[in-house]
Amino acid sequence: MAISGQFYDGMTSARHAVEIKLTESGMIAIKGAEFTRNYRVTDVADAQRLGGRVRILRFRDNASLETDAVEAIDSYLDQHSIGRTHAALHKLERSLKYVAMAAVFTVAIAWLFLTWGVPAIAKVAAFSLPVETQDSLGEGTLEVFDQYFMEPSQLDEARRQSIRIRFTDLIEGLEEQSRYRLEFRDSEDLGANAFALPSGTIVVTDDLVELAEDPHEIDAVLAHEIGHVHYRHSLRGALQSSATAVLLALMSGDIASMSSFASALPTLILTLSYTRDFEREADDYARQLMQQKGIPLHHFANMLRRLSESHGVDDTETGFLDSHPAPGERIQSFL
Amino acid sequence: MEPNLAAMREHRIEFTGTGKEYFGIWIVNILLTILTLGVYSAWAKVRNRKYFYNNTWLDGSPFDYLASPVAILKGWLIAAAVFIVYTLTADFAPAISLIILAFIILVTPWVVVRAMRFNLINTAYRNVRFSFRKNYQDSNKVFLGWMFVSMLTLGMAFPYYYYRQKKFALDNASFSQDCFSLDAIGREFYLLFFKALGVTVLFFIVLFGSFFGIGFGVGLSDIGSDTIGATAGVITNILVYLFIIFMVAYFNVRVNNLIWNNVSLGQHRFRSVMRVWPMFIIYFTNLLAIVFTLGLMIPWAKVRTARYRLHHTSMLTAHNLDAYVTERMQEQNALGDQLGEAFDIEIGL
Repeated sequence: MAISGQFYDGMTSARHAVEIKLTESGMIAIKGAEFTRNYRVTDVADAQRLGGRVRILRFRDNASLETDAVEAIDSYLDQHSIGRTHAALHKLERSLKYVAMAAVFTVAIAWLFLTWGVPAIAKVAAFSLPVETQDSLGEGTLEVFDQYFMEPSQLDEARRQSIRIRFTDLIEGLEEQSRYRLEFRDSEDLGANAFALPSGTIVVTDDLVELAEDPHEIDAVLAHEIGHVHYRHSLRGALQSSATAVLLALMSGDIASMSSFASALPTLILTLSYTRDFEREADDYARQLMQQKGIPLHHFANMLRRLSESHGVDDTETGFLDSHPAPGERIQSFL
Repeated sequence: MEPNLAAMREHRIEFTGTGKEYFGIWIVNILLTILTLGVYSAWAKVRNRKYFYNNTWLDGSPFDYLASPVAILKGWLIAAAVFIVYTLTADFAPAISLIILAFIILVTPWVVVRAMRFNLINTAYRNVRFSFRKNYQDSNKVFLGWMFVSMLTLGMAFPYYYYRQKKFALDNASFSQDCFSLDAIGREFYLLFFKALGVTVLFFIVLFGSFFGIGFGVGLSDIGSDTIGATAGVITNILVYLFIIFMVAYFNVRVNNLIWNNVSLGQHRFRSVMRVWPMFIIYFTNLLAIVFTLGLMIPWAKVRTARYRLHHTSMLTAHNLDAYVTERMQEQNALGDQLGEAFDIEIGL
């Protein structure tokens, strides 16, 4: 079979238009205007197959042959078993069936790893980090929050003291009891809120204290936050979202800056789903702790209802993008 | 000697890759990389790049990428080892990690030269490889000297440092007997950076001006709590994102044009006529497509971006391209290449 192509001798950039004869016995005869060259098919040093536009055969003497007779070259090399690995790869890459399977498989592996693997690894990592490291992580955060959106608490001292006493009762007998600290802050931006830092510091806002109609309701919130500290959620969350971002960037290849910008969205969605799992875990912890301390569980439900009202959340609505499980679902689990 | 532009032949660069074809290569690369726990990534890199090079045509001939995946993998492993040792010592022995950091900074010029050389030596056109001079002296000057000057002047010298990087990358590159050379001067880079800065300042003045205009219109106290305030916030966010995309397009297009309109290869010249708005539209639609398909449109986005760039670049040849002679081929190691990549020094022609 005769096909046409371009020949380069590997010495100069001169392009020679040639006729190529591929014989059954494994000879590649190249005939140019002023020369002929004969190669054996075993002289082919490199014959990668990529796409359907052109094939470049590189011979052991550094000469190369370039042709758009892609199918003829591919089937000829197949006959003589040259470049089998590349042939297999090429077959995978252009078969719609295999590509679709690869896409589904890749997405499935990625999904499994991101939803199970990453949280499991982050958990092990968070629990093997020394407590001192975690303490130092929290300090900076509180300073930043204080600077930007929190003011000193306006509550009177007696009230704060009574909550502190309840807090001490609550953490009495817990593991790592000395880590827990309670702070009061006033914040217009946060509204009625409470959060826990990796160091074990739990911050409660004035609005939250005002919102509670029964002191046990504050206990419920504190128990939930103690749960976050106990399970090291903030550190795990930070580890998980950075690991996710790195993994997504690695998987999508050497993507340009614009597309890594785009991988921020899947990262965000996954991060929010991780947070929902943390909230459930902290709720379960709160339930146990309240039972242990003899605090009726309906206080948690009441407080949650009040909180979702104060933040204007419909308690049946749950979105893919919510960082907390639907309030209705959480309230139910305490009734 | 100024070449006579009128006597030159213009060859437009053609790009023949398609999103569909590249998707197959890309997804198989990812799958095999996952299944081999990352080992395949070196092969993936070669296949990726080879696909783009084989589909880039100049005067009827495609480019080719000839790097050995094993060489890349070795370099990648060494880079990973250095990085792991550095992160581990950062926690347990800060003094040692500082020494490693100093070492990394000091070898940067060497790594850069190696990375550029590896890439060019493994790039071929008409079976003749490109090359890159081992100019460590200039590399030290640029990647240590000018980098520190840029830092010490709080970025005032950054445009010049940036220009020297580009000039270094081109002035040491060659194709057979002809050397590349960048004739643009630092002043033109400063002008470009100042324009970009000016546009940015203007954008934020107009944005905040109109924002406060709305604010006073409805009463300042309503902002933030009221729906008008919330809507204004959302619109501001969208405008800022669009502006960031615009600036990336602006910068990429202008820098690219500035460089390629001032590059020569022996007697040959180049021309780059990319425009900011089409590039902005491409980036913006790429972003939407990638976000809404959770990344599956990345191959399509890469292909169409490459197509736009390459179709707007051409080579002006003073004589035909047949007379280049191959230089003696040297063995290369991929160490510099992969260190360059691991620490994200973006270099290229």
